[in-house]
Amino acid sequence: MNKRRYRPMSGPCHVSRREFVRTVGTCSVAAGGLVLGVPAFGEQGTPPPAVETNIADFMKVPKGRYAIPGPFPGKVVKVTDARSLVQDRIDGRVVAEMVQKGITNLTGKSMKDSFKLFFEKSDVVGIKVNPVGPPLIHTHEELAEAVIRWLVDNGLPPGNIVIWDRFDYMLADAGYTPARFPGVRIEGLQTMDEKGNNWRGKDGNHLSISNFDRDAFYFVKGAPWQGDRNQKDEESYLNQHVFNGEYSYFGKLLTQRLTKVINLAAYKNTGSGISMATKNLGFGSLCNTGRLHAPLFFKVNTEVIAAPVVRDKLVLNITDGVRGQYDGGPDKNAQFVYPNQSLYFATDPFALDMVCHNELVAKRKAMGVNTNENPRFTEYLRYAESLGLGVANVAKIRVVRV
Amino acid sequence: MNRGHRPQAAGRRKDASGEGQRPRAAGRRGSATARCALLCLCASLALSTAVAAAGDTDLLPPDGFGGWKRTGNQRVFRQADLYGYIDGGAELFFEFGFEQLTQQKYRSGKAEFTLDLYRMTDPIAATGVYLMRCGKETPNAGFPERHTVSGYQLMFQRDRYYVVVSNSAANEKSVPDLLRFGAFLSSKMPPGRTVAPLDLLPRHNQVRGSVRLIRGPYALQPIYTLGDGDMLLLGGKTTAVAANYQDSERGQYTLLAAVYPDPRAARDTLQHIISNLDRYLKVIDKSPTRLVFMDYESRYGTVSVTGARLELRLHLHQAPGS
Repeated sequence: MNKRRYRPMSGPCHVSRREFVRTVGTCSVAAGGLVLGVPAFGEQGTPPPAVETNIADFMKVPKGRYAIPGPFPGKVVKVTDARSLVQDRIDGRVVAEMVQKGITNLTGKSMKDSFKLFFEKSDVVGIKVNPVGPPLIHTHEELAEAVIRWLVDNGLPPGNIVIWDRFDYMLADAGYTPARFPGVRIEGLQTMDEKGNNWRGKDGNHLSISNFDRDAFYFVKGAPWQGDRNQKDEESYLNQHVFNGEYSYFGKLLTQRLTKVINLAAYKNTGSGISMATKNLGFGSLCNTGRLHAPLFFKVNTEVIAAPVVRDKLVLNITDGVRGQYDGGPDKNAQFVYPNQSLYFATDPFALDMVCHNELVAKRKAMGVNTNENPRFTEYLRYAESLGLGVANVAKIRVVRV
Repeated sequence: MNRGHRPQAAGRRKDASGEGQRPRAAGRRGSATARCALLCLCASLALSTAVAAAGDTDLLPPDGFGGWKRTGNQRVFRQADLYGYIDGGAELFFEFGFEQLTQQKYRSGKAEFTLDLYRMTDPIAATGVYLMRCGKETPNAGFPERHTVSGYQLMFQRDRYYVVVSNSAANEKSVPDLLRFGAFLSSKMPPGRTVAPLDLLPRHNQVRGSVRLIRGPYALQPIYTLGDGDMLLLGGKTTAVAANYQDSERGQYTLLAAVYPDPRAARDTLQHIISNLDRYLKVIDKSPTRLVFMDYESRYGTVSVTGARLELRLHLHQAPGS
């Protein structure tokens, strides 16, 4: 472990705010707020507030051996099979075939050698799913099953696999249960009490407070929870977000137990942007995110994934496009769900999101939905490229269709 | 493992740490008078919301309706509670004007319906949300309200109510039952009222299904980005309407109109747009009553003021005349 103790940008700091801004440029200072792809600030003509983050600290840490964009920057494999979704039913056997085609076409190796490329048998592998919007538009269990089968068949003990998301109750609602996934761990980073009156332990603190790592955080100065109008009061905010200050702590599951991460995202829009691979981890790896939507939104996807605890462990991304949702997202809206019958594979999550974003824009146009193609909705992907985390330039992205 | 982002000190930060959180009953200060006033206010609010909740309960199909048994507890989401229910989607409801969501599930055999009854502040708000979420409508001639129905769900709007009845699995055989639920709900609601802003735009050459109502940035966002925040200064009160048009001369373009309380408010909005125009839009010409700009696709847009009416033409293929 790197023992170097980096300073957050709050309080006494060796770098002045001006110097900090100059160092990281527009990368860490919000020039315009985005909420669900919506410019949210300046509602009465006031300029958007500037916020500072600790992205510079993340980037100072040398990349690890498995860091994104991985061995295949800018490469995206799209596997389409009409048999995967027939009469609105998903065929798990076909999905498993698609997983095999996707991985082998991505790596150019067999499934066994692909496993060796990404994993060791001693790894503890986290499978990050998106459980929001079942039964239509979430990470389908059939995909998770196929990936787990690949890992287990190549020697990874089922007990070394953890299906995870931010919220425990959402996993259960989506069908991620011990009965469906025997031997595999299923964990939420936190619990949330839907009634909002039973989330404190005997000590008065949130029941999930010990699940988060105080030594690993995304720091955002200038975005307090009070700026989040989604929460009626501090109580409801803490229930959902555990903490409410300037620090969004990463889950200990991610920082202390998992050694590799596979990212299984859903395929859907959020406003004029997308809620797919990078958002699945950007908002799913840490707490206290409600305050981040307004000043940073999509930029959070880039900066959270840039954190060493994410970028150095994220070895594979698969976006579950068996069903797609082209409008009305990020929540489920059956009106806009369609059979896409495709899975998308990449080690580079930003190239993957760029490909899927452009596909979804084309779908919106084809369906006659209002389509706002302002470049701001993909700025976070170009920002990631500027940080060396992936490829966003379409001319440099190679899509392999299977 | 390289974390490389440890805090400056290992000590507790009261503003950020759980240890800084107080149990609700602990550490509260305040005068007895203030507490008494707060209690009275809470009691008053609780009473009013309870009455409101009861009112919406009366709209719901009873237990056993058409062979459908109520299942689970009825859930009521008020104001910010909605965020917990539709994470990422609640803002649109707040922008238009949201009062309460009542949710009840029903079961018949293996099938399950989830009924979401949104009570909005007014018919414009309910219509605005419906138009944003209905997609390409597939109506059934037997149901008189504006609606769309499929094996997955029935969605309709009447008066200030926006309703979604979702089926747990797609099944066209469920459509008659979905419509029966809709008919029951509709029969309990007040009659629909005219949504005046819809008349702000001409119907000629209007692309079917493209009309949208706008009360702030969330509804405007799918149509166009003029800049950050509430660029039209609608404030959730003034309602704009937008639609796409198709004609042989101009091809397809978007027309948006709003009537402000007075001419000055319309002119101020134009000035606000000029002063805060999105960084991807380039000003071509501007005056106290008109703005012409070019967008990132080399298409043109205009904003013009006539009296209290503000009108935008967007996605124009040719430079507009003076």
